[in-house]
Amino acid sequence: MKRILLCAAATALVTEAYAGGRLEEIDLLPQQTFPGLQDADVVPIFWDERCASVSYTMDNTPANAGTAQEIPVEVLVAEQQASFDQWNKIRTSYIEMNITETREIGNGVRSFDFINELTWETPPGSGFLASSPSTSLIDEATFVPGDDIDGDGDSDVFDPAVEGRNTCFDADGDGDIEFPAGDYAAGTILDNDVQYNDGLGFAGIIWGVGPSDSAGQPFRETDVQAVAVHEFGHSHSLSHSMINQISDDDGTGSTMFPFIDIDDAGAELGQRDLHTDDIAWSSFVYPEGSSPTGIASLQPGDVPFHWVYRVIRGKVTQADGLPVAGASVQATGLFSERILSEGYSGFTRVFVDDEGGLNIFTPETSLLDGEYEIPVPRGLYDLHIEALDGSPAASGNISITAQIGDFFGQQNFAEEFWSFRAFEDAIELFPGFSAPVFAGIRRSIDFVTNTDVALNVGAAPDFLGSGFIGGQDNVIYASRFANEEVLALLENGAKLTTGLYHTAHVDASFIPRFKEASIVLGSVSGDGLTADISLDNKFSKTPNFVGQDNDLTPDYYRNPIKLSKRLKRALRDNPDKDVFLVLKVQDGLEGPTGLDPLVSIDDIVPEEGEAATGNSFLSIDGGDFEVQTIRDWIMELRFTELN
Amino acid sequence: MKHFIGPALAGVIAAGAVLPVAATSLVRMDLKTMVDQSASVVVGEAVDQHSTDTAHGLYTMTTFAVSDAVLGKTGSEVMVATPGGVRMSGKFKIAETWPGAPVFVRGQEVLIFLTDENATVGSQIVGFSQGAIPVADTPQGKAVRMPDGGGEMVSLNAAKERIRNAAKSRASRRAGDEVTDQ
Repeated sequence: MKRILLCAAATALVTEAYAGGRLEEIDLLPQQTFPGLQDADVVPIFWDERCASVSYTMDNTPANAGTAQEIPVEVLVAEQQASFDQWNKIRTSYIEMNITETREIGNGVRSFDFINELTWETPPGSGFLASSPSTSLIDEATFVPGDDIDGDGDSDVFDPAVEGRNTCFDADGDGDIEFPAGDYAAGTILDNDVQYNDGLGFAGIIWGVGPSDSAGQPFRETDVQAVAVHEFGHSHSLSHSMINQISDDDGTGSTMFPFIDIDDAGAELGQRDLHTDDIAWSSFVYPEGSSPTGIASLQPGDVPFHWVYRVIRGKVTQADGLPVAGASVQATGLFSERILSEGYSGFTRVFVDDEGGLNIFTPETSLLDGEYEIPVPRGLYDLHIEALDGSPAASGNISITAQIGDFFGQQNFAEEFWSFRAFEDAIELFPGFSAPVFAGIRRSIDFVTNTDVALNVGAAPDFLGSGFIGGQDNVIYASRFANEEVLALLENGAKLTTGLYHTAHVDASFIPRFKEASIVLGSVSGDGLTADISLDNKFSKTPNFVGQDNDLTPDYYRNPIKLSKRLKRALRDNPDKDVFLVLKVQDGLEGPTGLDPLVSIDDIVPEEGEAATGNSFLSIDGGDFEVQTIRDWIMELRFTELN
Repeated sequence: MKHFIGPALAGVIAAGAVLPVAATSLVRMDLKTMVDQSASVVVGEAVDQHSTDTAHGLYTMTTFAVSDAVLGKTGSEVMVATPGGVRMSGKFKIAETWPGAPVFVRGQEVLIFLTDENATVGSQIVGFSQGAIPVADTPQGKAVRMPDGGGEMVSLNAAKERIRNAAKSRASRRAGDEVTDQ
């Protein structure tokens, strides 16, 4: 139980500079770099400590209204309060959210009205499943009693001296929340609503209570609680996370991963339960024990943030020194081997006109720095960076900062681990080598994104697939890289560091695990229809290869110098042979859909004039490879940049 | 015996992975699904932008000068509504933030999948943020990352070709549906 005291942070005007895993807005600055445009920093939004006990009102509209599957309002209230409680029970975070009332609110459509509303009604044509919009200040402000902030003719501010308290509540008893008079920082949330779309029946999607597998079912039930826990993370002001596969043994992700697999009960169950990343960020933004009084002060059962967490800080830059905005920096526990937290790099600035139009001009004026911070439980970590390139999530899913980085072409670097400071450079022979970081000890963990040369088979995936009817065992995918292309790179001094395979599992809570990934030589028949691939003579192999879900999975080679030397010699000696990346499927790992782990497919439509590369081959008997004429697998070789 | 699937069955497998709706709790969409749900697809440059109050809160209206109408009929400009925006007037300057909503800036070139205009706000982006794909200038020319594209850049021309092909497949499927219905 958290007590709310009168004197809580009456003049809190502190904002965090770096957005990390947080939703963002702009903070208007007094100066103009460009005539007619006001400078604005991109900053995180947050609940002011005075208003961090957040009351929600449930609109009295049932889900699946008017159908046989209608869910009564009281059930929805219970499911959502249980979802709030997932967040409320974090002992290192002081914010709390509760449903305090159920009633009809207008027509159920949310608006900025100082009522934090939960509703199963959405504007016509809404294409979303659920959303959690927040209204916040974009300039620091001083509220005085009588201020009508939302323009409804009613005061939204009360005098703390008159009311005898300094925390948000319905001071005038008219059904909306009033704020205590005082100073508020840019980014302060004034109102948050969560709206669930009840109009997706046309797509066979209905709301349900409890996780369920939907494969083969007449309706695709979406678990209210799985969605609500995610949306309430946004209500906290948290952004999306890139974590969609926690470890090699756990295919579920962070609750704040932007995509939900509503057909996989395991995925819905995983989303209901907060991941370490979700808990760390809520705690970081609302650290328990950070004030001597009020909601942020320690109450019985609370645990001080600093007892549990440390913050890893650093920066990400390009080879040319330009700060990177929106690199995902992920921390994996050295001993648990689980991804435990994530942050995003960059601090950015935009330029705003009188009508709210946003402008950016040059990297120099908008990319202010590439710094990041990640709250993590105490311990040792491996850190790696990943671009927000759409796999598994894009910059548009994450933040304004990430989108600005993308605007300047920054979401285009290879995944790599942090190595020792001396080795961290744009050209790295061992991008998969990790030097452990002790949280809280090292001052700055700085990355330089790598400049690689890549050879690809398959341009970009159209969908996940297998190229065969399900139920086959001993499936092997192979992609060919022409002798002359690989040899040319190696003879020019490039070193082969990584093979990459675009992998996925249709069922989100399952891991795309493969029997083996390897690099071998082989030759294609004269007619190009079959390949003779030397599966017994591997230049490198990784047994039990764990793929990333819906992402390019790197197979980092242990000794790129030796491998490149051997490969160069072999290609010279065997001009009729090419390099093949080979991926053997692990049988028996089907999820609810009954499908094995998959590769991503570049779909070819010959009748439209497209032609396959002739470089993708499939075996479904363990060794006879046939060319694919209407699809390519997405595989890639990466080399260090040429000297 | 080897059973190789044709595009139709491949699509069935794909359907399990790529689902037809989007949200801030997003369900991932693939190219075919996005094309299916699009009234038009354009390449355009953001030339004007303003925030506006609607019955459903603040929206940002961005006008794009269309450089290429990839699919559907559009004029030389399209106005795209995205939820959220800023209010610069009044004593208190505020913003509405929709998690995962796309943000555009003037001068930005974007490949956009658009819904039909609706009475509420106008044309919106298919798949929330998924149907707004920034166009990047690369040494090899203009390039984009396609939906479910593995992070790989493909040339803008190749992307447009893929979209048109997906639309032709859609037309074929719909023609087939009609025959089946009879």
